[in-house]
Amino acid sequence: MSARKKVQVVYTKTCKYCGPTKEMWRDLQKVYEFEYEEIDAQSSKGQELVQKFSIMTVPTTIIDGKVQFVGMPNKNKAEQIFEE
Amino acid sequence: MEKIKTYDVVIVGGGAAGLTAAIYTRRKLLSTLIVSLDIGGQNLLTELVENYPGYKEKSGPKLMQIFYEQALSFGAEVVFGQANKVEKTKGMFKISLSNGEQYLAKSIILAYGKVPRKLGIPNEDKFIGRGISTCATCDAPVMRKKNVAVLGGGNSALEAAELLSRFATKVYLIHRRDEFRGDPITLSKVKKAKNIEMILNSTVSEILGKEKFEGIVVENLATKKKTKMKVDAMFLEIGYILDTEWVKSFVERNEAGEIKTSKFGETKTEGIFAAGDVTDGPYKQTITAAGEGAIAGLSAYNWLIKKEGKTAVKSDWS
Repeated sequence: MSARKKVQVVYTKTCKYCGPTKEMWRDLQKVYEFEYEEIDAQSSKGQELVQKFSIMTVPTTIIDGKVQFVGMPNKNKAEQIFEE
Repeated sequence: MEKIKTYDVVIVGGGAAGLTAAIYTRRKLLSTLIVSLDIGGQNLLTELVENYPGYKEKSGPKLMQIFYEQALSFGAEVVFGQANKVEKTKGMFKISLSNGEQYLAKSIILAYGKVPRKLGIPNEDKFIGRGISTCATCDAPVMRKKNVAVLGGGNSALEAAELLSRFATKVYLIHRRDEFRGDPITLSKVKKAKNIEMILNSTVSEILGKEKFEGIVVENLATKKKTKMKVDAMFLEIGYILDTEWVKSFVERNEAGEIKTSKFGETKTEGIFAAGDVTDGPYKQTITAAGEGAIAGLSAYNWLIKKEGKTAVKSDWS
């Protein structure tokens, strides 16, 4: 069995796509097992990730230390990550 | 090869018209996909809605969030992206998105209102989300210690520049005219910000960078002088347009480019309906958009069941 994936969503409070993105990952967590974290871009951890991954827009979804989705992810593509 | 998913209805647009259409099509148990750049459309720009019955006053985004939750609660699916092509294929419609995704639809409801205006220069689409943004309120907090450019001259550009000045090191506000159209109060806030530099009579003529956004070329419209400018990000705040070019072979349009519809929301193509600000409807209000969305949703349902040989519902009372 493959290791549990780690999904991190970097968001801002003022972003209109961030709510639906977080909602989508929370929904997927009901179906798939994965580690999940929501990080405010303005927090110190958020700023670290913004620098580390050169994040220019939110939401950005990082999976296992790699930027996988910029903007609102397509749900089918997000699901594929757990079906690989 | 990946199988293309088929829906009874694909609704293009996630504003009042599109979300209402989705509520109606889902209540008729039609599989429904909403394809949209955002949730809320023009209402995202409306601070206060005071004429939507049922709510004495509500902010535009909050009202749209309720529409959205209602559409989701009935089982509508949503993908975020820009639809840019429709083709007829084997009695269905194939709808393509700018990110390459494709969906099959038995019927389509066009309800995408107005879309953010772009510059129309090479590499623009490629760097959206990777250096070019159309949402300063979303992305301002990730612009700390960065140099950014804002393009535009209206209130949204002034507000974007002022907001970004609180995070970025330097903000270049680029406008094609010699004065701003925004209101004086907002303009005075911009003028007070020490890290905003105004570049007037100018536009952006080129985007620099091959794999990574590296900056812009600013062209002075009076002198034609071009200057390379190294910025980390550019924010487009140049208004909204009605874009019906990509569906022009399927619909009839008026002089303004609006899609002509019957009172049932029908276009000239059977199976394609339209609702809201994108149509030639005389009023552009949340309530009228929602009403047109409901009509288009019910008409799509009637059209689909008629195709199956069943009797269409003429009115809810019959």
